[in-house]
Amino acid sequence: MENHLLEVKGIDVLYGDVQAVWDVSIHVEEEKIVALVGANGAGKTTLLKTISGITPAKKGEILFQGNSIAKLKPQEVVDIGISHVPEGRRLFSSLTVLENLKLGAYPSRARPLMANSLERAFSLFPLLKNRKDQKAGSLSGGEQQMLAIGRALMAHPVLLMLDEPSLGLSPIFVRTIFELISTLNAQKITILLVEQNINQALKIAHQAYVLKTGKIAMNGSGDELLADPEVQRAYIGKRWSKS
Amino acid sequence: MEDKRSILISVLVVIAFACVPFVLDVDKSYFVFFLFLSFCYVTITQAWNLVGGYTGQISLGQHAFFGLGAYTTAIIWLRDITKTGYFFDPVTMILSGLVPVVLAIIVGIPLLHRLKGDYFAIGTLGVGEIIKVLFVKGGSFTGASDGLHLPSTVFESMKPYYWTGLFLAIFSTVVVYFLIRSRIGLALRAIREDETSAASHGVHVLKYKVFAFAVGAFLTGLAGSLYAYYLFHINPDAVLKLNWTLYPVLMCVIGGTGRIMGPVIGAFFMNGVFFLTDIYFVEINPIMAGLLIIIVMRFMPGGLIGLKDMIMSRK
Repeated sequence: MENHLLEVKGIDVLYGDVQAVWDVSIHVEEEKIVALVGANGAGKTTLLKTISGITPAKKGEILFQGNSIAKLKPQEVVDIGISHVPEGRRLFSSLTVLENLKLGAYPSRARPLMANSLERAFSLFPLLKNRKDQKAGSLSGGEQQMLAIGRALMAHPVLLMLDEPSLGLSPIFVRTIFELISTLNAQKITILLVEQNINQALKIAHQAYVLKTGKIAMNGSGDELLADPEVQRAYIGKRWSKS
Repeated sequence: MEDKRSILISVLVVIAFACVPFVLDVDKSYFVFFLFLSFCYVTITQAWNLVGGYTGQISLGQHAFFGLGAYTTAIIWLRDITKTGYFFDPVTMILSGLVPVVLAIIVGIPLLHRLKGDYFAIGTLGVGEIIKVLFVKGGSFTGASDGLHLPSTVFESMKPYYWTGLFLAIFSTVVVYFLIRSRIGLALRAIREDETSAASHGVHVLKYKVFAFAVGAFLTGLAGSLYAYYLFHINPDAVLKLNWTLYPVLMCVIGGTGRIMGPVIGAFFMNGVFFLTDIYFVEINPIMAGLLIIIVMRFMPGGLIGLKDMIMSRK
């Protein structure tokens, strides 16, 4: 039996009358990187929001370390060790970099560790240290993404969920972000990654799920999916290469 | 350094204000009355700044808290409830702050839980109007539309009004200043920026919103109590009129929303405009005041306090 840190079992999620996620089940093993890939509107973001308690599921069960978390509110989910870096980063833009980081340590579990956490964030992102009194909104896209991740790390998550961390970043920052994900994983943080950059995401993922119009279409290890002709054709665009 | 200097300046300004009654004839000077009223406005505007400016919840129900504070003072006094003397009695004044807190919690939980943005504003506006109707229909307990008459023979001088007003203005500014710098303040500002994001970082959004709303109600109720001592005739038209919400909102926006000195500058500035237009443009004073507001908002979207930033950034 593997070590399931997170188990999502048969969840349905609806926005009003529109169903975005249909009977989805995934599991995330401890200290692994798991990728959720798929086209726009496939339900990847919704799935993360459901896990973090922002959009509750209509049906199904979510277990974290064996306990049901489906009914928890967002502030309770972060308290038990799941941090969510949302799409578009959603920083507190008129607050300073330092204030954003401090807010990340709001959960009662993370509060006593504040000084250490700040040090860790600044050593991971030296750039943020120089700009700690600057408003978050004045940072560049890549810096903002780093702040968003740094802020999530302040809560000392066991599971870090990243929603499109490379979206809209320059190629250099994209590489930095993917390297960072591997670094964090090496520090025993489990990662659940949603990405449009499927090629890169599958390369670093131990396990991956392909979502298609709200349902799981495929799953397997990152390498398996990367080699899958269907995945190649539909998502990576190597249709015309080699044959 | 910047901080130390501004604190020093603030202390000097406060001392100067506190000495005014020794220089001017408090009971005859129009200027002293202007200052007294400005202090009242600073108190209410600072309360609104906490709720609207820092927490981002646009409340249009401050007049309910103001009126409730005024009525609480009047009712406690007339019915001899606390048996503590009453005229400028701290117990009465604090109770006049706490009664609005109770209202703020009762209406705040459903309103802040369910309604956001404009809808919350309309909801609080409704609360103000409901409170007004309750007091008009309150029979002999509230004196109905004629209101309550307090024994005005106790009046001796404007001095206690002036100093109490100054105290309340400082008190509310200091309360908001320290709140905002605390962990609570960090959560409040995070809620203003992005509620969902704040919640997913562990902030109990509803709890903090209701807290800010209640603190705002307390400070506004204190101002209502002081005004009741000044008015002696507490009636719905005087203490529950919408102006007690609209003026503070205006003053806050003009002065600079979400800035600690914004309400202070805004209250003095707008109250000054009201007083001056009242003297020099009697017939058209609302037009002049309105025009000025438009000009300020057009050229200084950050409020008067934003002017300093604008000048600094041009250098």
